[in-house]
Amino acid sequence: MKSEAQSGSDNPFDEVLTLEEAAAFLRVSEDALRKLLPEHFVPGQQIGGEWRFSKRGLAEWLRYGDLYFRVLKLFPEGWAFGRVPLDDLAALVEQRILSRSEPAEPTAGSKQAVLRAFGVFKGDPEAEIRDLSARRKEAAVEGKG
Amino acid sequence: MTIFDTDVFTLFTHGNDKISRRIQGLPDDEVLAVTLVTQMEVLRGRFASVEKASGEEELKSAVERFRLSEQALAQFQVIYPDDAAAQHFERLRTAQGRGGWAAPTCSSRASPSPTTRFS
Repeated sequence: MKSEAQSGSDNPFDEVLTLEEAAAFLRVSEDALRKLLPEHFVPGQQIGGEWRFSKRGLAEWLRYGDLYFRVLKLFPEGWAFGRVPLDDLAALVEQRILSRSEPAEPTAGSKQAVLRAFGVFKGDPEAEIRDLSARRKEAAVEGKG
Repeated sequence: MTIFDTDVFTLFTHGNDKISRRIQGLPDDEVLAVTLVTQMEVLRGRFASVEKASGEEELKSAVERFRLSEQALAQFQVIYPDDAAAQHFERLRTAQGRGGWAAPTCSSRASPSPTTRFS
């Protein structure tokens, strides 16, 4: 049966839990959870003297530790993180870092490296080859002399 | 390993499609190389052009071509003469007089034997 405190969302992780339900979800006693609340940034709010917790918030706290919530508290309420699940956020950050990282330099002698030198000069190569051939002949004559 | 001689290197850097196609057809792990002879011939030619430049524009162009050649050569593995090549060169030089750098540049222990010569 659905608790009165539940939000009615179809997503079970959007559920709002009471202290008792939150403790059950975390598999700790209510007292243990109550002791954690002031110092460990457990994501909950007191409403009219009663504690309420987001099930998703608790799952994220369990997974990532309280550091995330400490950081989150530095930002204005409802800031960009608001509705982005952490996994999606992590994927976005990862994508951003990968897109910024430079591809590794190809090794000298690899096809990839060599093809970078393709067509770096314009114009007729025959003149250069003739010039090279002339220089070779000159060197050969000098060698004989 | 595939070794480019100087003429082929020149054609390649001038955008010869036939050579490009042959490279594309090689296995991905093929090592492409030039010998020290090619490196010397190419840079010597470029250096001569810099020296012979008769005006500002010609000098700039020659320096740019020198730079591009250096850069293009750096994309290849360079094969330097090893002890065996040096000894062979010495034998040829003794037998034929001063033979110059037409003498072979053998692959060193560090460089695998060439499987193809682009010439």
